[in-house]
Amino acid sequence: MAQRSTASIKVALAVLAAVFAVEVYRAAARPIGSDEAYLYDRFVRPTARQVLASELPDRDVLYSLLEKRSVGLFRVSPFSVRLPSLLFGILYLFAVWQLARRLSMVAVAAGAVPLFWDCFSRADGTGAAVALLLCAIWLAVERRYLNLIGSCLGLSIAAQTSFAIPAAVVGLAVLAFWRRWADWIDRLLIPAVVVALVFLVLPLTHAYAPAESTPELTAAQAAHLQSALQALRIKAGSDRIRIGATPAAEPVVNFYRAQYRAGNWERAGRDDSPEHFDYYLFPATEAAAAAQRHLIVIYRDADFVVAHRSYAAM
Amino acid sequence: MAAITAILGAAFTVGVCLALGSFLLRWLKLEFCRLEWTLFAFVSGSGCLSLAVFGLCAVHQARLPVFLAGGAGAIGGALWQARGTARRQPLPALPRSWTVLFAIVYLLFFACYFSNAAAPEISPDGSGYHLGNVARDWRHHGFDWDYHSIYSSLGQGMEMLFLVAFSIGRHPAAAMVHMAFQAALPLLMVCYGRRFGFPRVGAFAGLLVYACPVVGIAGISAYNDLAVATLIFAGFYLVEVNYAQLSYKVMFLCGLLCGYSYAIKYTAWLTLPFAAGLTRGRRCWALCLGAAAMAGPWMVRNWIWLRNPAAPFLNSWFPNPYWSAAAEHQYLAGLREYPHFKSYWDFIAQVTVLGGLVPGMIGPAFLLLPLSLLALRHPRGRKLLVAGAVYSIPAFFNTDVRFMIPALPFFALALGLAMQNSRWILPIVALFQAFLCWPAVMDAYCDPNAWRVRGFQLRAGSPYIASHVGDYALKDAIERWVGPNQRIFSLAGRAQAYLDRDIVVGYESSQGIRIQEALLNGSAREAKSEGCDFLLVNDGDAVADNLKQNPNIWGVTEVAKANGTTLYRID
Repeated sequence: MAQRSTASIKVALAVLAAVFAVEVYRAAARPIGSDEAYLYDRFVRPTARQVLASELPDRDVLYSLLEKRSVGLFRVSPFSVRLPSLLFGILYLFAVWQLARRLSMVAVAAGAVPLFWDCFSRADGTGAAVALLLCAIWLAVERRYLNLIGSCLGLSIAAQTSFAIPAAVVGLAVLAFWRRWADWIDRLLIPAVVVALVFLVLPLTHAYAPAESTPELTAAQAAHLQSALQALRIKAGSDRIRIGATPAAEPVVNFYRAQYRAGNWERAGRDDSPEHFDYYLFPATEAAAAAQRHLIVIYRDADFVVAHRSYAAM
Repeated sequence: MAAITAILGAAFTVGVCLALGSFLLRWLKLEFCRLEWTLFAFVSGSGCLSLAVFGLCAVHQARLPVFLAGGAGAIGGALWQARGTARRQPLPALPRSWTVLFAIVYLLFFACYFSNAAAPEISPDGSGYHLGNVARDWRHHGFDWDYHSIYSSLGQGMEMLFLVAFSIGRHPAAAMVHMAFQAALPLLMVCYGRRFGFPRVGAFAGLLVYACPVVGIAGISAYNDLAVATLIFAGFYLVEVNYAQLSYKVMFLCGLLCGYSYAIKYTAWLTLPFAAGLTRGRRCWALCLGAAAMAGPWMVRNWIWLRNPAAPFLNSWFPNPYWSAAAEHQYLAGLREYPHFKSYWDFIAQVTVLGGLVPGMIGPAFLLLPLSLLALRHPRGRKLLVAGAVYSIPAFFNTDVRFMIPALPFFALALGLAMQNSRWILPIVALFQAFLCWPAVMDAYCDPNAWRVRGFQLRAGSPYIASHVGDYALKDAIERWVGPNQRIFSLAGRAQAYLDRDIVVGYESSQGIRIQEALLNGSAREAKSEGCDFLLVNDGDAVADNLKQNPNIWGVTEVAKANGTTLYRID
């Protein structure tokens, strides 16, 4: 192991802590994104029975389960849905630190990169999958807890199914370095497959079901949508209302409905016929359509228009 | 009261099986350990009882007093013979944690299965032809030589046991006899594991199979799949235990099991060549002798009665007036026809988890089956995999998932062997399967129409049957209008177990096909001339509307109607 000065260790630790603190801040302050809201609305809010009946493919199974636990404990908020990711961020940093001690301090810098990708301040399974994969690599480098390596790889796939190939690559790399075929099968391959199957078996039955398309909102759009919903909340008061929204905004509206416990809001729909709703969220580019449909605009910004149906026009 | 008589009927039948098996094992002087003895006595004795009842049916002496006298004599004799016998050696023990795990899961599922088996029989084939045959045999105190149907010409090895139970406890008693085989299978698997030095694997595989949804529902119904699976596994076990010294007695007993499994279900014919291959042809004569003792009577019966020893199959080799080669071909093609799947994955998901497009499912843990190939590293694993592959063959020719059941014990054991060195994995997978296959949990994820056990079934009686078996609503009308010697023609299969009259079904015999063609050509007279005085027509049948609108032209009179089915009298 290379000699390292105490000062460099302290600097590295400080850098990691600072980056993580930024992640915590971002997790708390950033408005909810449409894919995060979609994961919550389709896979976390409903009961397990409803999720399985909906036949939508869930790619972040482990994360959905942890998020369900988190919102059960801390109520629905952007921070609570991102909390599991932040906790996996700690695991990730721990694995980076352990690897760095063994390999080189350069690994700290390299390992910090995913922190800038927002992996650990977003409510999806990517951060969890990255952390678990790195954990498996650390344990492989340490050459111990073989069962745990398999479990980490399996959990990584359960956290984000698209990590099946990276997990397989790591597993094969372990085999290539160790060349202990029987141990690899019994203590890595089988635990990995079983752990992944336990989490994924039921969601996998919907693997080929068509997914709903949910275009991603930019940070600015997400912030504007939050403002638009605040305006709508004030305008609607305690009236029972139906809200229509674009596919990108619809899960976010439903997320806010859950967050503010707006029992008087019916679940937002994606139907693009405003006559089915009391309020409709248009992209700003379609503001003219609101006028054509005799809708009363109650909020407008660079990205969104909130319009109210004019009952007099009917 | 019905449940109590059912339990008594099943217990009496199982008791007689144990007694006859005990005689047989003592006569053959075969040595087994404690639990093994009981299980082998049961499976081998069931063959003996079936053969005895076959004899009684052939001479039309299948009557309750005969069963009671013979059974009581056998049980009494076995108890007399067993007195003073030294207690047998136990098998090597199962680890304590596994004993607890196995006992808890096994007893929970047993209780659930027991409550379902004790309820009236409502399964399609059970209430259709399995118990339909039994009810007909019971009415005639033996085989009805005048009634021809593909289902009555199949081997009825299991129905012979059902008949004894039916004579005391009616329909549920028969289902409970089948449930006894279902309960014996995981215990045999545990014994196999204990015997060969991998007790945890035996318990794991036993739980995996016992919790399997299709094993659950088929086992609590008056079917024969679990009986076949248990006999096949017992035969394999027997050869494995005695592989070093395959005496002619062992091979004879193995032959009995092979022959009896063939007498129950034709797809089990594979057991005989497989057993011969497994033993590399040693003492093959004893094997064949045992098989002939059990399967021979059925072949002879069919040869004399229907001119075809393999009836209702091989009709091109054995032409006969009762069932044609063309009809056989069409029937078998129908069995092979799978519904449309979106992808290969959809098929796998249906067979293991969802069970909507295929009847039944084998449980999510069987998605791990590819890992069982790792058992190739183990000498016994190789044999298990070969056995599993051989007994999977019938599943390629029939879309019913229950045709996979005989292969499941072998694959489950191979899977256990493959994973036995992975810490915690066996109990995790066993519990995972048990949890996901518990009826209340399955409600959350499987297809609502999937064929499976639907929780504890504590209700019983006519309303329960009527709510599940549509034809039951016509039972009173049929028994009032149709005379005991009159026959009914139906285009579709019927719940013959509950309808106390002979029903000629369109596709089940050459006679039925003739009547069906005549009806489709607009004539009901052919049915009358073939000896059928009544018609049962579903609203969805091709001739239903025409019959309803023009009864005078057809020469029929509507007698009764219920649940979309109409009973017509041919004038």
